[in-house]
Amino acid sequence: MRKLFVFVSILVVLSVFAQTINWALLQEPKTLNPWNHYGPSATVWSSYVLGTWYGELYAYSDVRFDWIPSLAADLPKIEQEGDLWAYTVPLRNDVFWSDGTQFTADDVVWTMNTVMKLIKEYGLGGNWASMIDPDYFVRAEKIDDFTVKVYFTQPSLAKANFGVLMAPILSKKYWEPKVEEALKTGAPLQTLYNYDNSDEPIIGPFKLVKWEKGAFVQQKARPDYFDKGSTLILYKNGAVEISNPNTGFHWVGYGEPTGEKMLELVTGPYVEDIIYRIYLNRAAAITALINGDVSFVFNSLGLQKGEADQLAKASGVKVISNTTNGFRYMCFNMRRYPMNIKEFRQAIAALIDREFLCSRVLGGQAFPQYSVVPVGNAFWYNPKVPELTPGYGMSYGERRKLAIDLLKKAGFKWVVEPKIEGNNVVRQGRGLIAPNGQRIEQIELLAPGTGYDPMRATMALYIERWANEIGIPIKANLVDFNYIVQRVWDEPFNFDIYMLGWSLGYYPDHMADFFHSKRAGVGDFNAAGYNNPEFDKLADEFLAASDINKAKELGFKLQEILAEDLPYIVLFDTPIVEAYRADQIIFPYEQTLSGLQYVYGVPALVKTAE
Amino acid sequence: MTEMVVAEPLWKIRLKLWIRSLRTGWELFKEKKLALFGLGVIIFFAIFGLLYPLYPVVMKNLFWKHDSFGYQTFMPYDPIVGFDPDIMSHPSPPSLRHPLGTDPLGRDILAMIMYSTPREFVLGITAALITVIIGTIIGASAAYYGGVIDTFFMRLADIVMLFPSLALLMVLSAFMELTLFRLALIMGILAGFGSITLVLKAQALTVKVRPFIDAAKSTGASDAYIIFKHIIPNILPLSFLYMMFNVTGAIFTEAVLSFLGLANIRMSWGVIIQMAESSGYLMGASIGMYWWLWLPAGVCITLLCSSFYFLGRGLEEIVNPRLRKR
Amino acid sequence: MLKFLGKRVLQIVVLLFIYVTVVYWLIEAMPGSFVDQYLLNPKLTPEIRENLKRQFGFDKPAHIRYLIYMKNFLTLDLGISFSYFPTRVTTIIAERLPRTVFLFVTSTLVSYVLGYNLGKRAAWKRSGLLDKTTTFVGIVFWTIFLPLLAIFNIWLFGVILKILPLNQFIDPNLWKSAPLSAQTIFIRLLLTALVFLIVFLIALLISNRLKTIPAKKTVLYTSSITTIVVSIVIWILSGYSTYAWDIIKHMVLPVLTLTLYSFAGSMLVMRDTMLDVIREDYITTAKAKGLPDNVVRDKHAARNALLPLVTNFVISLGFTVGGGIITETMFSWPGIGRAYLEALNTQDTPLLIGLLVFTGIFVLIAHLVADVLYAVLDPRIRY
Repeated sequence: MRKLFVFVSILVVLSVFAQTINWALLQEPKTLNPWNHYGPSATVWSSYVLGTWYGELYAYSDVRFDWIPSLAADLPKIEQEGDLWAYTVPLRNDVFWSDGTQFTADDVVWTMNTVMKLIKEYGLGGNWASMIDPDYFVRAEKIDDFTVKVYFTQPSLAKANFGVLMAPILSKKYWEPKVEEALKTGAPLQTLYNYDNSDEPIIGPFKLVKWEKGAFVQQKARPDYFDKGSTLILYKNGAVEISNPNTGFHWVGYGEPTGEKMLELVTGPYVEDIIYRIYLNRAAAITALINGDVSFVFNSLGLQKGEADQLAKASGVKVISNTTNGFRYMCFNMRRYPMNIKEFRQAIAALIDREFLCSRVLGGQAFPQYSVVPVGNAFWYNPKVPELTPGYGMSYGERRKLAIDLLKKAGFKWVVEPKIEGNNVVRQGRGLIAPNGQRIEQIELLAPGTGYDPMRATMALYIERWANEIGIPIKANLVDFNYIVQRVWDEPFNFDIYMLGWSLGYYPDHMADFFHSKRAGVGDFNAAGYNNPEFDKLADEFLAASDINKAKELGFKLQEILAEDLPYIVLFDTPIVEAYRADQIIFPYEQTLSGLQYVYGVPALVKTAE
Repeated sequence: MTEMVVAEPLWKIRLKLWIRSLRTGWELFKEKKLALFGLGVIIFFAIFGLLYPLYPVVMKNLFWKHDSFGYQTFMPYDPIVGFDPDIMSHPSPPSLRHPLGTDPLGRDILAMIMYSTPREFVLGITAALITVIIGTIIGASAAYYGGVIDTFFMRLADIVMLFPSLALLMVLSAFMELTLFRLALIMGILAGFGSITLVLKAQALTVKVRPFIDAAKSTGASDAYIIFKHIIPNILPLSFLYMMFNVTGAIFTEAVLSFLGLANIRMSWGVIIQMAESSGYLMGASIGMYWWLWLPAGVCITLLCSSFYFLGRGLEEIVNPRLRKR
Repeated sequence: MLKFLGKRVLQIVVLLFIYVTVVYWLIEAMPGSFVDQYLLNPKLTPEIRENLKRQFGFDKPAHIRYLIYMKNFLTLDLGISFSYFPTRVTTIIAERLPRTVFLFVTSTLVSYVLGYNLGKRAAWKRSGLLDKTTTFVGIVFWTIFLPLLAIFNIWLFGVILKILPLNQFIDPNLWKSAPLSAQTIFIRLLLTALVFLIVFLIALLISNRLKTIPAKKTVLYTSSITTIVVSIVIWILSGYSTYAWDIIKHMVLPVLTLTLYSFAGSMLVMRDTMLDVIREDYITTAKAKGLPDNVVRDKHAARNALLPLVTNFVISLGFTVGGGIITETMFSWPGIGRAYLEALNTQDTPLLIGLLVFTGIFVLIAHLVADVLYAVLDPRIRY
């Protein structure tokens, strides 16, 4: 009897106290209004809080990032109707908003068409406009309560599957009158952005309870969350199975659901409350983690070396490391001489010993990258790229000799030619003369200062030193981030070489964004001014592909071309290191691209530790 | 020829007078132990910084002979990129090879501190000198001319004083790359048009009413002559005093800007601390475990800044008779 | 006096307009702009970016924007923030101001009280042990690198001794069930402090009219203590005292740090003025009359040396708004200084201009108050 009492009281204590989990944010969300958040005020800190509020028709699965139905009941059917391409999407009929209304085709059609209207007529921008691209999206139509048809001008993985069909869906019942009212005002978008939506119905598992400005945001689990108890199973053979025993929903895709399971997840929510505490500096948040005040820190830059070292020693804390979907790179201005000479770019690439820099100088805090598709994006990454990069796997002396040979091959000369013996520079090169006879005085390498990113700053200084040794007069100019942006995009293209970084999506259409010659205009993303008709042709095909495997093949080819032409030298990226209190919470998995914060800390799956 | 004979004694007399006042000043100064301490520390840092070029040479012959990677890290040693590949994990604690250890990027902390020392001096003294020159000239002319010139510069000072100086420098850091010299220049100019003009003008006003100014005027001396020969020499002691305090301010501001990552200075004491902070060693238990990353640089800032301050206060008691002991 | 005040106010208004203009063009001329951050997102095409630029008003030429800004400024409207689009700058300032003011007024007060007491003692026993130690320690703290001091204090009191709460300005676990927001409590705390200040000033005026020292003391002490007790009782009865106490608890560490860092400033001012006053004849007379040493020190010398310190205090209050950049970051205290740093990092021009302008107004008002105080308190000055 007494044992039972103790057991019951422990249970009571657990259910009352252990159900609140605390997470740390390093900045306050700017807004929790969907129009504003997916519009002008997009910050990652807002998405950590509201990222799971709204449903989408399709979503990426956990861990493997398979493209799976979320509010949709099955994958879309694609057919051509006259000039247009129609994607027919069946919807789930077991989904309910937090105000009790059922989710229907009306919500989907209203959201898509309204956003389109706001983009076209009122200039709604930001992520709304990139998700629902008016050049591709035409309109959405309701077929019946649980079927919608979405029309596009042409099929496109990026704009349809990974674009419109993954846009958040808002509640028509709640928003329709508000939007109509807003349209009557002088500044409709501002009215919408400013609208206090704290009573907005949502689909996701957690609902906002309290936002104490400057201090914390509190969310409470919805007991009536439609997907509670549903199971997601990823099979090793690629198959995906979703089933919800409560509503009877069942879906299988990408093959037969047999064989070994890679992952099995049962959706919660398992905790009562989540409190996002706001700390204004990293040290504060990490000290709070060590003290047990919070059990996970959202930190988009990841933990620094010193922080990870210390957390690894703290009891109860677990440090995890994941690859990221991005890269840091240097970009040549191919509109200028001699950066337009392929061998010149290759020579610099040959000099840069990424392995040495990453493993030794940066102390293992970074890993080398070679391709414009990051290694972590395993499906799209071409593993042949590193070998295509000049100097790969060579000793330092060989790298120097290769760089000199490449320059000589292109017709470069020196006033004093560099001399290499073994690994050492016996005589530094001086007075580089370009093939056209012009003396190259100085080449400016714009890189962020140590305050913004010590790694890039360090790397720039090493590149400067290595280049100078063989007589390439590169001068690393460590400057403010905004200054680089201004020189590159505003002035425009007033630079020789700059060094920055990109953070990317899963579908690598950024290759076309960065290197297609039609994107080389003022303020656009082809800052290198790369112009290769062969590349353009392949890139167009890549963008138009509606079949994933065909797209993959084309993507590999694009990467190979870029590895040889080198408008960018992709340098490295940092793994994202995170830490959580394993004695307070349990995550369903730890290995996922870009870390647990990329999936908002999986609030519907996280459990409290016993 | 005769002029020479007349000129030399005058010059000698002046020198003698100057030496005498210096000597009495020194007698007074000697009693101020804190000021003496400050002067000592400043001299120490000056020598410490000037010795920097010897440091890599000495270290190379004693402890840095081994360079197995052939990356020529130590030849010639550059404290900004001077990575030591022979040590497996950085930051490494103090050792013979690196007397104050290495930072997370594998650089020798002592080398960084020594290398920064002359730069801190240059920064502080340049900024302070500019401030004092501007402040003295404006203060003297505003007091002498009065009227429009006075009003203009006093209102200008009001506006400059309205700006929170750190906040303003943060904005300016977006305009240009705040290299060491530019930073010194900007800090000097900003402070020069600010509150110092008020103080020096007040002092110059007391000089202006003295009889020798009128005497000089009656002999037909030009305005510029009076300002430079009579007024400025009499407010110079006060200017010099403010220079000491401004050195402190300049060094401190640079450290804060570097700490916030807003200055483009490749190496300074502030940068060393910023490196420790940004790589995550400046929190929790690491504060004690990795003391060499922040303590030496922090101590240097405090020591040098407080020394100039002590020196300034010592001089103040000599220059400002109100504060003299009876 | 009124004429002087009128002249001063006019001067301040002109100064303010020049200042706003300078600030506006300075910030406007900053390279880059808020919309540059969208350049990091390759999914946003140039058209989308142009659209966003239009929303933020970048399509109008700069001088038109300036005229619009000045027009709005006259109606006390500081525009709309970019990074908190479309929140008004005034709303953001109003949200953050109570936090900053409460923290900095408290710490400035504490550091001035400390500086006053140390300064008068140091000057009285000139070159004594106390004088030397306080000057040395004070200047060392004064020149210590503030971020290091903050980090060290957080570590010592929060991590090692565990006697003070770490970071943030409130404890979420307590506040998640709070019936009202922290903002309300901050404002009420400020009101309490204001009431106390008014009562104290009135008591001071009354006690100045009284003849005997015991009577003066009684009036001052009873009124102060009564106000404190009454306000504490009201707080307890209101049921919000736990919340107020929570805020005060979180404030101890930053106040301690700021006090250590800055007490030397007020101490040295006090010391130097005291040294000046001590030479006056009436001090010698008072001493000769055989009055006890500390009575002469406190009643005669220190009272008269207080004036520069008070004006100094008021003026330094003006700078609290701008001085919080480091402190607020280190102690997770989301106030005005922190907002400034964030606005600078995101190139939120309207917020940046707004904060600088607001700080300017604050400083100007502080100067005006200091002038008035000087005129009222110093019998030697007549206008």
